[in-house]
Amino acid sequence: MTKPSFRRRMNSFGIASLAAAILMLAASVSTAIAQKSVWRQATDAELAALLPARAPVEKEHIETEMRTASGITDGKGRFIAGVVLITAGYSADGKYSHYLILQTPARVGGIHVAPGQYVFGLQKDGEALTMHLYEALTGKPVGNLEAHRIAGNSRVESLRIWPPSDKAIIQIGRFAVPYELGEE
Amino acid sequence: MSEVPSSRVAPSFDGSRPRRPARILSGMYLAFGVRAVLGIFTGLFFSVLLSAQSSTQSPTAAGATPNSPHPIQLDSQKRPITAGGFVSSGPILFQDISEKAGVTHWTHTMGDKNKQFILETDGSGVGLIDYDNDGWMDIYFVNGSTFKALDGKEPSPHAALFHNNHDGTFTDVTAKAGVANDRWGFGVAIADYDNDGWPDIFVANYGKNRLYHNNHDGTFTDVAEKAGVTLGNWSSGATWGDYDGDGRLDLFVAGYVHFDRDNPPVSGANGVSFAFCSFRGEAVNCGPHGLKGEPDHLFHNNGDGTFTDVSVKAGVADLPGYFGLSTVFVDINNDGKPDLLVANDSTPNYLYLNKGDGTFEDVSYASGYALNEAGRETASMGIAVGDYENNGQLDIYNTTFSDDYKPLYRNEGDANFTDISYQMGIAEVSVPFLGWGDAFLDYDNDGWKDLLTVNGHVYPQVDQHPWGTSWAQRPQLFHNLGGKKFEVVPAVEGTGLAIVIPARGLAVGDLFNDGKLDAVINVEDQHPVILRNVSPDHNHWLELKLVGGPKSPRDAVGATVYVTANKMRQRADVLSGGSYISTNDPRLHFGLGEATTVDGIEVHWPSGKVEKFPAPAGVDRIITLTEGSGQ
Repeated sequence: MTKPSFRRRMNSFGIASLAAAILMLAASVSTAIAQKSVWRQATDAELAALLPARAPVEKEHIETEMRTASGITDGKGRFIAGVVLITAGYSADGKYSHYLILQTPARVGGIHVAPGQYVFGLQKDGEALTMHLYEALTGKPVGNLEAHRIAGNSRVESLRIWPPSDKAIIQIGRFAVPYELGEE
Repeated sequence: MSEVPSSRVAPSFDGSRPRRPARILSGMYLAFGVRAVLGIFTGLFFSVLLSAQSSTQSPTAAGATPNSPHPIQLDSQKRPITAGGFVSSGPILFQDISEKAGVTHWTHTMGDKNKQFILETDGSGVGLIDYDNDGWMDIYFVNGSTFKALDGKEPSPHAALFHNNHDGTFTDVTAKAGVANDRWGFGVAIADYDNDGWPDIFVANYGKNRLYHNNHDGTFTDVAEKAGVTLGNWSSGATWGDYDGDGRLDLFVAGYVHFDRDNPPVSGANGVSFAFCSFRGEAVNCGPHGLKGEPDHLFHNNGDGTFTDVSVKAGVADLPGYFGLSTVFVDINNDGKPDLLVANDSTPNYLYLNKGDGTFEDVSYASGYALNEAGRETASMGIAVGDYENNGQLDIYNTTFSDDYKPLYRNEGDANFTDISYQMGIAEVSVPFLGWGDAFLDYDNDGWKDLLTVNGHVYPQVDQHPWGTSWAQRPQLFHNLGGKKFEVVPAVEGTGLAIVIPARGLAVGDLFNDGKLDAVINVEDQHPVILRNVSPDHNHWLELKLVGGPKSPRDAVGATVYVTANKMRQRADVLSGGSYISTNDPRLHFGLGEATTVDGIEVHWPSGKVEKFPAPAGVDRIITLTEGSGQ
């Protein structure tokens, strides 16, 4: 039996690989579509049950302003949610201004963020808003994200995490940073 | 909502100095699944994970305090910029004439110097009023009180009405006028609520409010009880406006904190968390966070000397209990009806649009006015309203707490506002200051409205720490550069811009009928300050006193005037309230630059009537326009 030529072998491998890739792509896209359709805006009651009245931040417990709470859920107990920390209302204590809980991995502004509890502070940086993200319990820096001004005259928000089926952005003020849901 | 531009991340740092974030993957809005597959093939999926997670950063800029994102601003003598930063030479624009004017024998009192309770920190307003209709602005200073005075253990501090003697001096006529208040006073709103041609005075108190009716003979009578506007806990700012278009001025009163005299807020007691009684770790007076907010009230003028509380029906009752301070009725969307602004401390601001049916629509968040551009609830104190671009749209400038910038909300039309303080160059310089009274005023009569703020901290403890701020602070003046930018006017030593005081209320007006806008400041626990405008410019000006017709409030509060001159069309509005719980000169001032003629005057009366008035015979004068006498 003659061995198939290198080219033929490569063609077969390529076709198989392509088919596999297409299948994976289709599966992945369908998964993503399914994800997007599953995740919805969390209700006030869900947020109240999830978010702490006093958020554990490093060695302190900082009061949260529950009227600013926002989040999304897959309806199966997983949330991405946040709330503004009461730092006397002033940015004097503005290293941290927002508390964030992720119960699923996500890419936020291009940074992979594992499930956990986080805090972030904001700093004006030219036309953008820089978000300094930290682990809530340790204060360990996670990274910096850049939120950009939303075009037009949108409603201003203390914090709004939009569902992925809608905009897949985290809105702060009139700035937004994109996020993408990850998988466990 | 529109599309968002691409994002950037900072994948790594050198451990101490943040690097400029590097741009990665464009098209951040591709579906995650597509990205994931690409990642499988390329091996780049979550490529930034490790670097991002292992990164460290310097959390603050060099020179910043541990928690503040803003660097401490000190002058060359290491003083906080709020109490220093003076220059030895420069334009002399304002001079402190308080002593010469004869107002320094009166002293404001706001509780104890230690400021153990929030009630002792936030006073008080000042109003300009021509109470005797002699054509010259008189001054009404609100006073605070003390706990001992409340308990009858010492005399109550009293408010002061200073009569303008037309010669640069003032005479205290408080006792004769009967407007001493003798309660713990905060705000003042002045207007002719009964359309008798004489301005009346509303005083917002901790305790029962006062409504001083002008008796036309130099005296006033408190009619608050009969009128039904006394309330009883902590009223702060107030504003008059004819919200329902019946020709009678209605009254809105903002409520601040519900303060229980018998159970004052103390750290760790009465349900008050320690966190709400500290500033940068230092124990200070508690609040307003953690305390119960006092609701706001809208009183409809029944036309018979009584008022009816219509707050809930009108939709402006402040059901969440935000901490209201300054407030002003003003037509913000140019539909001819007065809308309502409320500056709330540490909670979202209110912008209520007048629907024309006796109710208001809360567009605070939709308009952008609720928060600053970064989505933060600000500790709003004062409200300045003015058309700084000369485009016919009223813009808003709010003063806020120290360690925070002061937002300038540009009116984009249709009740949409954009906070452009950073773009206009006035954000960072305002950060160390704790602002109170503020006003748009064309101090040099060049036709462009400038910005003045007066400042001072609420915590005396700040003087004991190197935090870059101070209890007593100097004013800040920003010069308007053709509506495109503002520049800081230097505080020249020995001038009014270099005074360092714990300022609160501010009212601006032409005290000396010379066409230059002066500033009157109520100073916490000190004597008041009058800053006379001595700008050396030779620009021309015009001032208008308006008299409303039968279908408008007599004093024309709510009227909008457009003056065309010097190739510009300027706008000004007759308002009662605003600044920090104060009332400005009701006469409208227009700087004309080098123009010696006015091309046209158009008045939009509160009744809805629009009239054009012929150009006055000359400029540099004060003229009266009466509704119905135009074309």
